[in-house]
Amino acid sequence: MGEIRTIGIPRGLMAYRSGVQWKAFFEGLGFSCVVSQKSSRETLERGMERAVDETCLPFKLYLGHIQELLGACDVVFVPRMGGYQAKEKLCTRYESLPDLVNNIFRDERPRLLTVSYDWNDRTDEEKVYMELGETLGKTRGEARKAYASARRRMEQWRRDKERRQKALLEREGIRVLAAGHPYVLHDPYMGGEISRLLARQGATVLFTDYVDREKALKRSYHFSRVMPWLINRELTGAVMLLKERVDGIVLLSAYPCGPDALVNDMLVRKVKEVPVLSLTLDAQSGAAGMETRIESFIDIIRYQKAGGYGKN
Amino acid sequence: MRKKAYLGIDIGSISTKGVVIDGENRFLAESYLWTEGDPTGASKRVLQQLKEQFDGEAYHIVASGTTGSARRLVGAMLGAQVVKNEITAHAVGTTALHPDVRTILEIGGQDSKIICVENGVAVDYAMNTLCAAGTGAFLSSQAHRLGVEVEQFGEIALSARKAAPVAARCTVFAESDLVHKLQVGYPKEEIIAGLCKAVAGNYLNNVAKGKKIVAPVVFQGGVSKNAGVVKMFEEELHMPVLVDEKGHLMGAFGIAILARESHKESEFSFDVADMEFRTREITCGKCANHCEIICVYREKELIDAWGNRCDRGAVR
Repeated sequence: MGEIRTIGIPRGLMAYRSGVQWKAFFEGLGFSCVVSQKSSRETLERGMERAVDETCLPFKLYLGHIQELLGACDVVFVPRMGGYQAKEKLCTRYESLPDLVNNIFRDERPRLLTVSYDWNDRTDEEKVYMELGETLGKTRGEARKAYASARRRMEQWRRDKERRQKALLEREGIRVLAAGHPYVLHDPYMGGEISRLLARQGATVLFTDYVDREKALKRSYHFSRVMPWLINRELTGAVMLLKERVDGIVLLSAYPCGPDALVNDMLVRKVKEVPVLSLTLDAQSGAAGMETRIESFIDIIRYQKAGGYGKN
Repeated sequence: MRKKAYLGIDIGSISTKGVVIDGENRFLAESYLWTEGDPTGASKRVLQQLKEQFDGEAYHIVASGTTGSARRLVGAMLGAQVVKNEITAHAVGTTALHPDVRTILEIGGQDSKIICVENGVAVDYAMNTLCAAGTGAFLSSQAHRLGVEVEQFGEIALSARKAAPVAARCTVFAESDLVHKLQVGYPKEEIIAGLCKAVAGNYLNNVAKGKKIVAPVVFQGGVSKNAGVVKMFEEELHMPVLVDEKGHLMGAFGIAILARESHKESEFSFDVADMEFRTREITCGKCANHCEIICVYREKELIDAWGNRCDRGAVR
């Protein structure tokens, strides 16, 4: 193994939830980080060449990001995440991420930096980061310090997003909550397009992942005691917390997502306070055809507020 | 003095509809014809038909609107005041004629939708996704296979004693199921009745999934002209399903109303039907997204362009 100086972070999947913390941790240990560019059609085309057809759109994009990083850094960070709690697991894609990447890019033999944890390991976030530090040849003291500082950085970043979103809740006009996995909501090629279409219709867009994570997670247990997925918990909890304060909810899912297929259907049935629009993005059409759906949805909200047709 | 009139055109994937109405929602002219893959050409033909029925001495058109999947293109062509989605257009049109409607079922050539209405305003809607099973195009292809005109489907279905069970979840499965049913000896009319039943069932289980269907129910779109499907809906829903004589024109009617209510007025001339319109697709090379931008030209002059994700790709 050669010396590691730069660590590549693919801008996809959980990077949209924890990337700030990863980057701060590696930099705190003295490494430099290369983050792949924001997703574009090129990213997707690159990813689709490598992926099997049946896999989900975000994973196809993720592979495009990996490809971009090959040769641009010493190692690519691809963690294996199972979740920390039995009812806060992650989908199987995360549980197999390094294996999938290694196999798909077997000809290139990329050097991956990885760490693995599972809900039945009785571990916690700090221990996982300590292990990661050890893999990188750092002392426990160095890793602990870098972790504490990275965590603070992440916290600050989140509080900042939450504060800004709170201010948006006071805004006049139509407020729409976009609910989904962070990597779908904020990827420019997926949710970014939807946010743009919503904004063009004059709506203020709020996001489920800019709601206090801990509060949302706790609230999700009122929605379902048995649902096993962490991200779906965070997003349903956020929906429950905000549903009375927005004019509409857009459930945004990327095809095919097993957890979303189940949970979004539940949400559509259970949330009766505001109009709910369920959108599924796929690799073929992307955001095409979404315009009609979003325009119709905003019209419904607008005419409802006006009290009828011909009144606004 | 000539009275004001309003034009609405609904350009769908299969058919193009046009109406001219006056200030009191009276139809002054109407047209319905096949799009045949040429939305601008079909719209020109619709305009010609409308012009023939239109009394230019008594009325003049002061606003126009477009809806349907080619609304943007034809909107640019007409210089329309209002360009709006078909959900809103159908809701506005239907509630104008049936103020008490609560549920609008719509099955068109390639899409199907449900609109839930409360107090005369849409409160919820759903549309079919990628799959076109159970739409007009599906029925046409099955009619072709059976050697029957799709227009006769309704009548034939009503003559059947019972409906043969046909799997209509997917066009591919339906075809093989259909062949099988014919080979084992089911009478044709029972199969056609089965197809109509499958269309209604497929719609209720997919598009209308989770939606509460409350009476009065209005059924529109091309497939509503099929009496067999209407009957199957009534049997499944246990309530009367109303099909308006003008049901196929509701989108065009709704968008004409919206054009009037926009209070934006400018004289419309049927001369656009004689002008030449051309579209060109260009790929923007300014970033890795490679947006496909559609440019519309009237007599060689660029009048509109769209498809760019950001301002870097703005053509005008």
